[in-house]
Amino acid sequence: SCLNLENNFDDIKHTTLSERGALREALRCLKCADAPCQKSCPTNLDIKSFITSISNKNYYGAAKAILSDNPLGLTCGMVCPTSDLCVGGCNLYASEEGPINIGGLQQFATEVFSKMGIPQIRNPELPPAHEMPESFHTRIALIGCGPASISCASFLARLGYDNITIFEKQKYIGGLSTAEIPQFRLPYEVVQFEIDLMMDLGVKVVLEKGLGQNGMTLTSLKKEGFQVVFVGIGLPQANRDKIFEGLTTEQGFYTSKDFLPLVAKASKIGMCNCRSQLPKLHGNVIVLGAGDTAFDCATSALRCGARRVFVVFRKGFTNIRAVPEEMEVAKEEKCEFLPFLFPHEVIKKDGRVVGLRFCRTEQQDDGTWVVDEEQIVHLKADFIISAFGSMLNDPEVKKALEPVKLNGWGTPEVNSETMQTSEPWVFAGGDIAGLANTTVESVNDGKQASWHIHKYIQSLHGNTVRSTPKLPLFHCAIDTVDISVEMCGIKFPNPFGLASAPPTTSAAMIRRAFEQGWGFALTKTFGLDK
Amino acid sequence: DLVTNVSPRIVRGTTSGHVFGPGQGSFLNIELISEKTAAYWCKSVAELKAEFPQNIIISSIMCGYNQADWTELAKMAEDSKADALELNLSCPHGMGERGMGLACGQDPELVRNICRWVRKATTIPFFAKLTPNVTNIVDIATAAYEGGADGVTATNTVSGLMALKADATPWPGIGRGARTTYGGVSGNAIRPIALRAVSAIAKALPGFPILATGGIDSAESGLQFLHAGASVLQVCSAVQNQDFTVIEDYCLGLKALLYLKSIEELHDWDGQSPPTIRHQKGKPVPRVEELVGKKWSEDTGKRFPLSLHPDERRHKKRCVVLANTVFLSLPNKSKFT
Repeated sequence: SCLNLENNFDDIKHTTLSERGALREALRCLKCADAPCQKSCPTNLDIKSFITSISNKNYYGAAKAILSDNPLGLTCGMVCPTSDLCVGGCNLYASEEGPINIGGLQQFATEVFSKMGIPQIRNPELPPAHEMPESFHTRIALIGCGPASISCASFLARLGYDNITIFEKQKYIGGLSTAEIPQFRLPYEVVQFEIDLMMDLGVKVVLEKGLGQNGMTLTSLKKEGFQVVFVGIGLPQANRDKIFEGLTTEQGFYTSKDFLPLVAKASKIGMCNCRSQLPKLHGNVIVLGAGDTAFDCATSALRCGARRVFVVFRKGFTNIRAVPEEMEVAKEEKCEFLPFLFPHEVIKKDGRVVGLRFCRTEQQDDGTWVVDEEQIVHLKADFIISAFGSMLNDPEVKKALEPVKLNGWGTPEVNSETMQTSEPWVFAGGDIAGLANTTVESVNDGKQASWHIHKYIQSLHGNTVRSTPKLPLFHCAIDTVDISVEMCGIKFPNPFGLASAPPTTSAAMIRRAFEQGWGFALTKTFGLDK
Repeated sequence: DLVTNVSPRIVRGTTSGHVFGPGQGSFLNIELISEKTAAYWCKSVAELKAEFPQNIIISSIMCGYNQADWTELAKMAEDSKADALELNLSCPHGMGERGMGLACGQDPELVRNICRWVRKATTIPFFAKLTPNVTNIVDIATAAYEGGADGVTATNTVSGLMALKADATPWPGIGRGARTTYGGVSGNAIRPIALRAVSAIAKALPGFPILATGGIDSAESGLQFLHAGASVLQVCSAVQNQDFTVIEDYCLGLKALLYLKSIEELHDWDGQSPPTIRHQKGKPVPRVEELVGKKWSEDTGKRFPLSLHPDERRHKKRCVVLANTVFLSLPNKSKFT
């Protein structure tokens, strides 16, 4: 690459906005009546409302709207594949200026709020903790401190549950957000900020405790007194192709699950106290795969000293799984792409990787893919990084999950509506539940599960909950400020009112306004019947 | 005095360039007073007050220059249980021709007398809505004060002609003859005029309550009027641009602005906007004075005035600030707030 990126972990996102950029972008939004952006958000964010708040320079209002529906609003603003979701549906796609940069706006508003340094507070409408019914002191355990668990714990804490513990097997928190998404896309302080907000509500996080380690299993948790468990452990093992069997990192072979955490530990300040170094790469690096993770590996490899990075994948350019944002970044940093190649054999010399032999693939007319072993490509490489996806195949973890029923892929069978497994007291969400593929979908899994966990716990105590789910909003000290005003002996609930003008043409309109929260209203001017 | 409105009567303003869609910078309207009768409004006010006892309803009334009329209408409005009255002395179009609205509101003598009549007729508070279409609005405000008004609303719309098409027909043009009249410009475009009016009145009559209106479209712009001396804020064009749901944004925004004033560490913020640090090509460029005596950051090995040092991030103790307490610290002390 032309630009030397070694050890350079500055932000590379195109969506990052400055204040003026954000205000200009927010002004462009049409505030569509039936907004497609809101429909496509997995966490149902009220996008119109937070963009309106940003255009009114009310960044806290925007942050509150975001964090109420998505406790990991800042992370999602930075890493969401928006071109697939909200931005992809934006009606302004057809205009010259293009769709609204919703991810950038979300990142901007929550980032400004994070700079204010204001903690989250318990829902002020709830009675004090000691007056809460017994059911809200139920011991709840969540396993894995990743997006799904953080979201589930946040919502449960907002509902009023005060005995929530998250168990994380690593020494660091945040799951994939910390371990695999690189610093130049998602800085560690963002993850820290969101987890701080969750801990403000009383959620406890216990490190270095995982399923299958030191005898911790679902049954042992139940014996300890946890009545509900949420499994959010993700898919911790890499999907290794059999041709790589036995290869180690010293020989020059990494899986994405080996490589990215090493990069993270060296580049993310505050993640862990180890003073580790970046993996030292040099020469040609081949990255196998074409998902988002593969492109993260490719861009990270450049920062570890690679001279050339080749991203090699089985299918064609038109079948790349990763979103355009990821691929564009890799292309700009001068990574090269080689399609239609299927890895066949690793070539070693003196016990070290020196190359890889590939066979050409081809798609038949009926859509099936075949590997042609007569067309061979031999590439020299100093390092190989494989990013073929992840799975769960640790037998200890699988044993610890008993008696939950596992499906053909070895992951729990989950009810897609209630997020419950075959055991009614065990819920699952995120990558492990098999429904989510991205951070934002995992957050929604946690949100969905939190309501059903609430319903289940209340049912244990003989209570029913409302039929339509309703989760509490994000609250902080700002919401407790009293803005009532007294003038001429009249007490106004807030100083905003409707002027004597078209919005108050009829009494019905004034009624609707009061229902929305306006403090006062003027009637439209009337006179005598002359 | 019964009126009939024409259509189209509210048009998009041309002040913000060729921007179409929500977020219009101004509007022009040639709408007259309500087409509904006083009986309808008095009954509605009574019903609304019963349904929303916490909310405040102010009845807006207008008559010709006639004591009997003003007395009768003021008493009728008071009996309907309105919390206060607003005297429309400033409608800039349609009524001036009949000797009402603007015709009354431009002459201090007329304003003083009308206020005296209403003061005699009613015991509830009443405010005079002033027009900006005068040379010196402070004279009119003083006249209202001398007449016994409990406060003023500053200001109504600014008289204007929005646009003429290439063939000299006006915008808005009514009917086949494309007829028009000078209308009232409202919205963000008139905020400087309204802000000046509020500020001048508050300076000349310290403590006299002012209801501000004219281009309030956010908590941030509302705060400007509160700083200038107003007590409450009236909104119209911003609701025309969007809908009634904007109130949630305004209230939260105002709460945030007040709360942030109480945080010592954020003193260099402009409302909710963080300061722009000196930077070049995305990296901060600190001055030597800022580095002297600063903590050496062991993690990065760099000396930075870190704006977000982990230890300073969590501000656990905060005092709850009441709106009243903050405003007492403003220069324009009012015994009414």
